[in-house]
Amino acid sequence: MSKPMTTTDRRSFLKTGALVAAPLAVLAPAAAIAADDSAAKLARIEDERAIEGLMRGFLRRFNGKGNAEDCGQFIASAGAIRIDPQVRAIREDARADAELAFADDGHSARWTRPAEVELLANFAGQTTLEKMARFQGQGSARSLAKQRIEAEFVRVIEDGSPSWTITRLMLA
Amino acid sequence: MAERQAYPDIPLFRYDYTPLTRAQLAEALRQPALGGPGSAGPLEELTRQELAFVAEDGTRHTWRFTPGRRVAVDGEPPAGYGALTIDRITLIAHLVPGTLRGYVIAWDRYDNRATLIELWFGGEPAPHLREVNRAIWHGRVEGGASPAGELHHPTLRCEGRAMAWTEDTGNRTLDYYCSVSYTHWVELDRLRDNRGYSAPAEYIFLTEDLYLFSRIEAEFSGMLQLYVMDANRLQSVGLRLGFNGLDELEYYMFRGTGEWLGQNARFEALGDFSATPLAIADGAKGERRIYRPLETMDKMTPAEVAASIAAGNVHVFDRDSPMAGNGTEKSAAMAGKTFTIEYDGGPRMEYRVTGPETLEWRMDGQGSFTAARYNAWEVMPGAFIFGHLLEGMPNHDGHIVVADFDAGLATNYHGFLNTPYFANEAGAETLFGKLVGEGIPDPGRRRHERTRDLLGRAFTWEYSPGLNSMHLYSTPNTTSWIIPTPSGHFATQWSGSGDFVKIRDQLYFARWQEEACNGTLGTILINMRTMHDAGIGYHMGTTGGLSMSNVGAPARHAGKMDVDRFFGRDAWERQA
Repeated sequence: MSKPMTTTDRRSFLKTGALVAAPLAVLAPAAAIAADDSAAKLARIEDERAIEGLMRGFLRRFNGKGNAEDCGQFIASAGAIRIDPQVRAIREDARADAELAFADDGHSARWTRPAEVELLANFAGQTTLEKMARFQGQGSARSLAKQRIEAEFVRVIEDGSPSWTITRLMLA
Repeated sequence: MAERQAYPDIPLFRYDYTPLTRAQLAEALRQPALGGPGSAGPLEELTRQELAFVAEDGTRHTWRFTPGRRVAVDGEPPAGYGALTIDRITLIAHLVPGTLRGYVIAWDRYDNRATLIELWFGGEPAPHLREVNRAIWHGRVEGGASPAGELHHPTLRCEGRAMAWTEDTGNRTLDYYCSVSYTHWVELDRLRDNRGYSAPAEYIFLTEDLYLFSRIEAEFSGMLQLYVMDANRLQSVGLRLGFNGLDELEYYMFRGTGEWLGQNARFEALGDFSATPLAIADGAKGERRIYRPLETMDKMTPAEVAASIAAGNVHVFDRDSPMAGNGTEKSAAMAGKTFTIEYDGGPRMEYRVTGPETLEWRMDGQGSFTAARYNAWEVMPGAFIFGHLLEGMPNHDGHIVVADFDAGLATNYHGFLNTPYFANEAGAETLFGKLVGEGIPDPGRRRHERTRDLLGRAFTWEYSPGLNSMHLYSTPNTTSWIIPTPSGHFATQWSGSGDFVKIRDQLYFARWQEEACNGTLGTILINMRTMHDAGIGYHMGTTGGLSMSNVGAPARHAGKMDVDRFFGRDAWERQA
């Protein structure tokens, strides 16, 4: 069971003056960390990799199931995932780096990355068009949309070890 | 019940066709089966004594012909037959005495390719016993030349074309081949209200010139109209079989002369010549997808409608509409306006637009103002479409208005419920009027006018991913809609009353009514400069209640048929 070590919200991010935005592919030293503090830098790199792995694991599980039903191990609470039920798959845009920003205290972070989202619309309504589409055997349609993953994380202690969990994830 | 007529002067979807029994059908077919089909001109007599057809699936039938145009198939009792030849194709038709079935053979005398169509009454799969069923086999006639290459086959080559046909009976018809599985036809003589109707169809490639077409007027009389057409020479030979509105058997062959009206675009991928996108795997004999909208339509009484609305099941622009997934942004530009619309022969509507989605209205200066939710779209600068319900009106009216503030003109597609047919089916009338208010020019006696600019024109509409359609404005008072498959084949089709008003050059206000179908009044303001529309749907149903919802989609112009000359000056007038 994950235990939040700290709480944060959107406002705390917005008022944080020392956010660090670094493409994960270029793990630049965080401004908030002293240049000679190699232990802190190493810890930050580990945090970045942990969050990257967390997101990778979440997306793999989400895409495998086509929904967030079995994603409990990645999230802090049931309401953390705010994704339209039409979304069936989320694929990160490999051409764009993720942006990861840590709060000053290093206990929470925020991630954004462009993504291609696969949507499945079920034509269950009573419009004539939907009825006729169903009549033709076209009960649903898949489509792709360009969106952006926005996720927030907090550091937790899990089985005695520090870890990260998703407190909010949505597509914008 | 409406007056009994062979060809009703009310819309076919309002006519109560008699549910004929098998015994009635058998009796009606008994003598004509023996005598063979009638014709206005001479029928041919085959010189060969036997014709054996073998289908690609091994189905085999043998016909034995005897003098006097007599034929027996597979040893059944002899019947009268008819035959007509067009170029290399001979069309042979007969019934089988003592049964409810018959056959049509389209035989290519040059290479012995042939198509066999079995026809039968009595249901299965049709739910109406009077409706003609058909099953089709492609194959060859044994003996003589043996066909090389592909047999006759379903084709998309006719899709989008339209023809005007005049039979040797004198009957004239416009046939729009809008789809690979449906057709839309307009009777110019037997029916008098200039409406078009939609029906399931077959399109079979015989040769590059010659195509076999058939439609079965399912959901109406159930009549078959079948012909082989020569697309180059604009000639046809055909068969009409079925029971008209007086339950009289029509069983005759005909020759026709045609006029090419044009071709609207097809939307399959280039190089895709497949033609059976809705084929039913392992379907029963004769089974195909025939749209029967009345079966799935909600049917409510006035009391049920009133109770649903009284219970608050009213939704005015409060839900996402799949008809507007690709719609344009709503406009808030009417907020703050105060104006009056004076409709000719209609109400005087005072408006105070209190916000981007709220207004107050008052009719004919009576009482106080009533608040209502509205949505508006500015489809061309200064020209808006907006809609709202008139709460408290006994027929739960809705006003869907195009207001051109630059011209001082307004047109209203006034929707209402409690029609004599189904209480939840939207009725509609078109009101023309003028806008009165500060800064609005006075148009004097000028008004928006009905237009034929859209007549014969077709647009595709991409409402939401996977939800697309094509409109065909087939007559001055008909809107037809056709649904594509994911492969771009246009397939199932239906149609209802339409009306078309010109607002400005390249800006048109159109509507359709889904009568005896889904009951919706659909309205769109079409901007042909941006090739996009914005519109409003007005609907009452058992689950969704009374609603106004947005419509919006980008368009493609599929083409325009040259059909104006087939309709008289007053062709938009008809009985609703």
